[in-house]
Amino acid sequence: MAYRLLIVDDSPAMRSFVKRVIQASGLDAKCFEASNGREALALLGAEWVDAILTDINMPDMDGEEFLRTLATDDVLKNTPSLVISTDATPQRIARMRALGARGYLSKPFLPEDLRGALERIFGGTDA
Amino acid sequence: MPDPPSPSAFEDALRDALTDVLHKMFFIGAFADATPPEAGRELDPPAELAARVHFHGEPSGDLLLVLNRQAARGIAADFLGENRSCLTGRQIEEVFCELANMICGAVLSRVESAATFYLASPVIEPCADNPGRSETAKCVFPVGDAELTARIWMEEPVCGPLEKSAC
Amino acid sequence: MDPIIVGVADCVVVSDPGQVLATYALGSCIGLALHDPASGLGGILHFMLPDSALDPSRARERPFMFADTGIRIFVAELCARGASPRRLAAHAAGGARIMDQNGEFAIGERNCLALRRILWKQGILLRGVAIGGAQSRTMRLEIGSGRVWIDEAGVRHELTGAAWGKGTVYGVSPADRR
Repeated sequence: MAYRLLIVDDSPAMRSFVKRVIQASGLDAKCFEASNGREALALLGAEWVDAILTDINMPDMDGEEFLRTLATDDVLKNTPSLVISTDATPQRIARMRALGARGYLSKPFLPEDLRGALERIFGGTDA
Repeated sequence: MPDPPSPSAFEDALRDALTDVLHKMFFIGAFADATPPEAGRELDPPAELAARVHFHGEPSGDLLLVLNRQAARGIAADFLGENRSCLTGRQIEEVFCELANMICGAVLSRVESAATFYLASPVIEPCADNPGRSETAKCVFPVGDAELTARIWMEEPVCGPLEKSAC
Repeated sequence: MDPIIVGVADCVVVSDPGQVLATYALGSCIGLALHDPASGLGGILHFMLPDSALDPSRARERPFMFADTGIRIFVAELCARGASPRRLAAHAAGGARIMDQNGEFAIGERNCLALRRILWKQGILLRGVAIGGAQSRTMRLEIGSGRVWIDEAGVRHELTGAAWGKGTVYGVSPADRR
């Protein structure tokens, strides 16, 4: 059965890039997309996913507020999340980890780095 | 309150960020291309593409990225893993905006490590000029037989470090 | 069984599980090993230059000399014989800075970038790499297991995916260019 992944990023180009990496990784996956945290929450109200890949800097609801909201939901808080962001500052990484992010990938990254992070998430270890 | 980053710090960070982003996600090295122009260059008008990202932090400012459209089509195709001729104008602009976003974030992560920064969504600008303002830092990077130009403008702090500590 | 030697600007695809492929003198050139565990097919391409547009007539005579023409034909041959791009395990070695200490020509680096660009367009990601640096390498592919071995500086080691987590992909960092 295919994994169900939610990609949250306001950049259509980055969503395409991430989907291509997922496909090239050989992962059997169905991808859902949202352009900000609020859209993502609405989608999660209707669909279940195995993992969430989220940006931080997004209009309307950013990635930090999105993860903070997920952390208050008894079901969604257990969905593994991977942050993919241009922000590589230690304080941001620490905050996202504290909000429950299973992994953090700073842009720019090699496609193989994203594949590795996904493999670690589905292997049950921290990405 | 720490002093804002110096122009030379921005310039070093800009050069490193450009090299890193283009190398990892666009497969571009820091050397002029010896290959002849690709077929299909007539797909785009001979105009420049410009994308601006405003950032809020310590300090705040703007990054402007400029490249001619034919070269932008090439790097967009490489990023998306598609053929040049299959891309729409919108896809090219979306990739260019994401390039500007990543470069800006990579620069700020290098110079603003003590504070959180926020990036506004990149916007395509109708004009590549920024009259009346001299940039804080500038970097020109070869992309094929074209040049990618990145400029950063740092906003002046509202008050200097001494006044800020008293606020 | 003696290994089948893949020469410079050449490519070999086999399906015999007892076979080993080997290619030598990977300086600025790149050796690309592709293996499909399901079909048992595997091969090595040894290319010299990044872009066939530099010399189209030469590329028609010797397509495996160039990354773009060589990789395309290599993958097409594997797929024609039953491999799937999504199952292919890719390993690469070479792309070193040989006899170009000032980095003026940067052939090795250009080859590395061309390799990654073309594989990305083909929808293939690399599993293990030994690229960059300043020394020549030898690459071996065991068709039965898909394991890849590299000889460099007199030491033989297996190429695995362990390098990816450490971020040392190229061996030539941006800082090296300053």
